[in-house]
Amino acid sequence: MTKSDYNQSVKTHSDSIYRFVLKNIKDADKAKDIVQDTYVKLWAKIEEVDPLKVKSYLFTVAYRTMIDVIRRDKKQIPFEVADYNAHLHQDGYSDLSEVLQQAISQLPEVQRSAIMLRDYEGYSYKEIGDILTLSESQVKVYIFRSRVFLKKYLISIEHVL
Amino acid sequence: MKVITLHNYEAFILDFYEGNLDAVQTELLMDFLQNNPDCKADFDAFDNVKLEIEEAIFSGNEVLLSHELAFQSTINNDKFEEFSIAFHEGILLPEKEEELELFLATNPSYQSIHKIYSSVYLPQETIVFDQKKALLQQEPKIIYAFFKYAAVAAAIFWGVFLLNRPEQVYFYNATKPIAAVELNDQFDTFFENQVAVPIQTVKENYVKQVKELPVIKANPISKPTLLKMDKLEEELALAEVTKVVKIIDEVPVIKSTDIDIKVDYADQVTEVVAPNEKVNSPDLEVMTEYASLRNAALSVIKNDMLKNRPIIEALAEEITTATSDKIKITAKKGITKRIQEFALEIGEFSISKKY
Repeated sequence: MTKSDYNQSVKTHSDSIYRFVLKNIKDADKAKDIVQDTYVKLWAKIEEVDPLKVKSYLFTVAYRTMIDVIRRDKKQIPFEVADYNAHLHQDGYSDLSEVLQQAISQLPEVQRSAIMLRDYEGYSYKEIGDILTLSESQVKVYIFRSRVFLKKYLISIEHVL
Repeated sequence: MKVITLHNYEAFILDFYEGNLDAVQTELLMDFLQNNPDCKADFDAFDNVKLEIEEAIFSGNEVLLSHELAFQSTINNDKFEEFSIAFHEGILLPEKEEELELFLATNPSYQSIHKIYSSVYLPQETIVFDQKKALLQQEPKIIYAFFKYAAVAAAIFWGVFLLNRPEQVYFYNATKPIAAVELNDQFDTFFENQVAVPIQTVKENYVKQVKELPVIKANPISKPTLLKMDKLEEELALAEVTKVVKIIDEVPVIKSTDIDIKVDYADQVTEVVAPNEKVNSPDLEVMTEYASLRNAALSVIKNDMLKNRPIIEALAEEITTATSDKIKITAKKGITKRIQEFALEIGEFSISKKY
């Protein structure tokens, strides 16, 4: 890809990459660092990356960089020990979107990434599998489980409210 | 065969349970254990360490299958959620969608769940990454634009230049009429030198402003004789440089061929003095008639004007005298007192002729 393609990818995809990372890592500064690292890696391999596949490449690099950061910082909250009452805050919920944001924050990282790539970016199961280094079947399983979890979460909220 | 000792009996026990001992080794092991009761306890304890096979059933096989296969089965209460998710994911076959709608119609209690599943999709949310400028790389737009505009400007400039280019300034020195030398008013004599194609060209960065040569008076014979020089003499005559006027490009240089002299008797008879020229003899009577005049003219020329010198030498002397130092005409005489070399120098040019 050319320098122009690179700049175009910054303009087109950096917001999506940033959103994807920020929703996962919940830290704006680190998310920005990861986005910058992602583009630094892209720039280093600008000759090798196909312009038509740059978005997938960016998400793949961003995801792996994010995983490295998460493991390094050990701030990932395992699904098994997640606090299911963490979503109960005193101010109440403004809308369904906020509830869903709270819900996906409770998902395991891989499920959260899969469902965000599915809903935000519209990737197919195979594309998500390529980015997350999963098989297509694994992606389906994770997304199905995520949907079930979100449904249960919404029902629990309804009960609370 | 190894001897069973307290240091290696565990290996024999392991081999025994794995069936690796033959009858003799088994007999030896049993004898050893009987003689060592502590080791016999280990032998018995090892026998109890067995993992029982547990039967594990994975209940998620349905979703691991491709949707073409996974959702071929009939929708029921247990599978409803999977079908509902598949419906909202858009991977349910059309006939199964109809079946799902029928199921929901017949089971209204599942409609709320089905509706909730329609809500578990993340809405689009715009988050702006505000550090794009730090990631952008400079592109050579300015250089590209510069070349583009420079090309247009060059084309325009070239067009203007072609339309308004200055006139070319090619000059020959002989821009003025040749100076005439009146020798005699009895008859005209033309000295014409043949000027061939220039053999070389050289650059000269000035133009010589011509100064008229003085008229050379000779003793009259019977008829005024007009001596006319051709281009060689023109250049010799006009070669005096008094002022540099303007720049010129090229000036042809005269060739190094012989200088032929033709004598025209009253425009009727032409005799070529030069050795390689034919003599035109149009009319014998006319030749006879003017023979005496010719001899007389030559005598005057040789004796009075040329002072018994070759005519070229006389001309060279006259021209040299009349012009500045920038033109030099020299004639070298040999032992026989005949001219053996004639040299002409005009500025940077020089030619010579050896006889």
